[in-house]
Amino acid sequence: MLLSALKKGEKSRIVSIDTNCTNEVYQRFLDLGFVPGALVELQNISPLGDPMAFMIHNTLISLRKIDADKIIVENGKEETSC
Amino acid sequence: MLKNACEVCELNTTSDLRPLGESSSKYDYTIALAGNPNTGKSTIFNALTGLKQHTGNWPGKTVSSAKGNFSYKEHEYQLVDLPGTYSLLSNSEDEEVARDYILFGKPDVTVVVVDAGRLERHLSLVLQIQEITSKVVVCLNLIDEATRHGVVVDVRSLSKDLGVPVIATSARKKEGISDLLLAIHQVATGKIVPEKHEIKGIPSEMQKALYEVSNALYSLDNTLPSRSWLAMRLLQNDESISTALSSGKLSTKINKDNFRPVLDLAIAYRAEDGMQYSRKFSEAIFNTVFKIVKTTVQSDEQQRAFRVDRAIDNIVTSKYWGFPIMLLMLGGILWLTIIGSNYPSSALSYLLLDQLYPLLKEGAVSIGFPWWLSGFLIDGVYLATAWVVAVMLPPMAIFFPLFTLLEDFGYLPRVAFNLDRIFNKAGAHGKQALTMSMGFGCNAAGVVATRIINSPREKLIAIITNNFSLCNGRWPTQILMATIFIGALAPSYMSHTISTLAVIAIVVLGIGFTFFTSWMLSKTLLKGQSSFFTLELPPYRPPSVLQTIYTSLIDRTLIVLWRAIVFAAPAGAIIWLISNLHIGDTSIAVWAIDALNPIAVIIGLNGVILLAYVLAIPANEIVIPTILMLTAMTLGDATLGEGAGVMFEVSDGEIANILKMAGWTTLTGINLMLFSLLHNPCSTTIYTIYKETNSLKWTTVATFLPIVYGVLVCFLVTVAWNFFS
Repeated sequence: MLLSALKKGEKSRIVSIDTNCTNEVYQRFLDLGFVPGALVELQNISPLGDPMAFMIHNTLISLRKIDADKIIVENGKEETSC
Repeated sequence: MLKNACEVCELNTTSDLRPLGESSSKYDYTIALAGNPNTGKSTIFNALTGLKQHTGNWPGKTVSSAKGNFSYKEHEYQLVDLPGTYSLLSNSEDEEVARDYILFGKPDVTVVVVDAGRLERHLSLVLQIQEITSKVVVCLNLIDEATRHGVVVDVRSLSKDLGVPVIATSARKKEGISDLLLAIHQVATGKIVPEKHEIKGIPSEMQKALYEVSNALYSLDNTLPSRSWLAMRLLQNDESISTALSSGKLSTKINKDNFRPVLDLAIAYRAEDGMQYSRKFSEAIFNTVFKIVKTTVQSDEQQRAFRVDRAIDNIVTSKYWGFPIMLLMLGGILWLTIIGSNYPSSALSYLLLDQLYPLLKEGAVSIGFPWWLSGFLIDGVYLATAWVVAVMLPPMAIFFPLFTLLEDFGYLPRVAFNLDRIFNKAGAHGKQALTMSMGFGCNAAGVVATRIINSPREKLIAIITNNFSLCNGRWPTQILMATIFIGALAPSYMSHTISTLAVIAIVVLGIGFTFFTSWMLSKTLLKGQSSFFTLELPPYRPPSVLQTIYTSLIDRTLIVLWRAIVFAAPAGAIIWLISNLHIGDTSIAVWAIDALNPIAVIIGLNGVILLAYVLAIPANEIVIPTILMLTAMTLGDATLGEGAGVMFEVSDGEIANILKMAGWTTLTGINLMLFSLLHNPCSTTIYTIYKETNSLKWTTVATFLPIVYGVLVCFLVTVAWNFFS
């Protein structure tokens, strides 16, 4: 499922990053530690619903929903295609 | 300054450290300071050089590289503070600055500052830098914070795994600095030779490509450093590297012609495997990092500090409390500033205006100054300066430390987090919330801070709208008008609260204009979508209160005050001159005021205010003194002192009386507050905008757009006011 589909406080492991995104965005994700296998938790949601803050490698990183949707995580309550 | 016994003790190795600031131009070694954003690089830089780079708890604060010197054990060192970077693999501007320096500047030692509590992410930069140079010292900073978060790092095995010296420090507490100095010294002088580190886990087909390209480089110049890294970048299509190589910047033996076949080889491999190279390389780095971290770091995520951070975040970003808390913080700072500056302001004006001013006048008479000289110097230059000090110093001395405490604590990125959706909808960059916040201190600083925004389109939007952050120079105008014309309407026990609310309303209106203008620009002149945006929300750090108060008083308050004084003195001279030089029977000032008055009345202001805004283009700080001096002058000298352009009554009540005598109404007060928010930026900011944009067109837009708003808004308010009353 997509990273943005996590619920607040829910943890999951990153499966892959959408390969269609530009190299710059992909590199930036890697720089921030969003790599396959990393454990990520949705910790906070902005009062206006977007962006979201994810805890990854002990760091709180804020991503806009549209960007978080480029990351696919484990745990399939429902299968999402992308 | 007195030194305590420990600082001069021979057993203390830092006693060998002599910070040399910016002064020295000769040095034996250059040291580069690299690291992820927000790891305390600037704090280390300040500790070693004795300089006072502004530090703050938000990523991206250092936007260009600063240089400073120090000497240690008979050698002089130049330290270069590079912009914070997450990696050296992507192509953003600040990363290229850092990377180019390490590669082309060939520093003798590169100190990589990492956050001890976040090694999983920060070690990747260390490994990347080790690909370029082996002369690396790792500074494991924020070790105190890591301990508080229950993270324990095995420094010795980390050092062994990486093959370089690793020094644990807590720069804010000045712990570990002496060990760091020693390690820098040993690597610089060659007493320690760090090992070359190899990234493992690179797929074999990629290794082959790397090997061949790197060999081709070797055949051109067998002394070329960082060959495998250069080969990697060529495979990743890094144009600045191929340009640097073909232009002979990296090696005199390589030129356009003999480099061409190497580039062709790299291009051939690139065509085979496309972008996969950089991705596989990054993944290999991360796998190495994870392996190292697994064996050297133990962490307990159930630690209290983690829970505290989490609990604070749950409140300050919560759906219901997020926005009220932001307003409360803003209101609290404003309220403390208004209440707190009242008494020192009256004390200062009593001292400078009621006591010192008559003494100076008498003194001038007794030593036989002609009237025009004492008028020019004392009624003009001295009075304007004294006014600026009395009006500006107290609010600044309260506002800046409070704001800095909030900044150090780590609250500002949360503001950006809360407001991001609105900036996103307005087509602006999420980090604009940070530059906007900086604008509350000083717009010129806010404009410089926009360098953290990579997209040129979004940077321009942030620059143009920064003026809608009510800067510190304008607060005294707001506070005075709110107190006299709005607070006075309320019963006395509520007047401070009401005045504060009025100023908050203006600040919020300014934020509204920021959003509106950003939105309008991204729909018209600067069309586009907001770009990819990530923001690190740093852990909360208990601010060191005393140090913050000291540095924000010395560094910010006094600098800004000095600037105000520098502009106030000539302004005072001009005010006195135009009040006392006559054309026919009328002084130049009265001519100007009469000429401006008809226009001013239409927008609910008056000629004095407009003239004051013309005179105050160099600095908003002098608006109020100018208005008061000009008003006193136009009222005639019968009630208010000896010469035209003289003004020395200062308490709020007296000012209110004078302004009302000059025909001011509540409408004038409200419109002045609005016009103070919506008018051209001060000349320093305009110049800064020109430097940052390099465009006359955008500087003109940024200068005149707010005036158009101001005239329109004041006009509409005046029409509405006259309609309803």
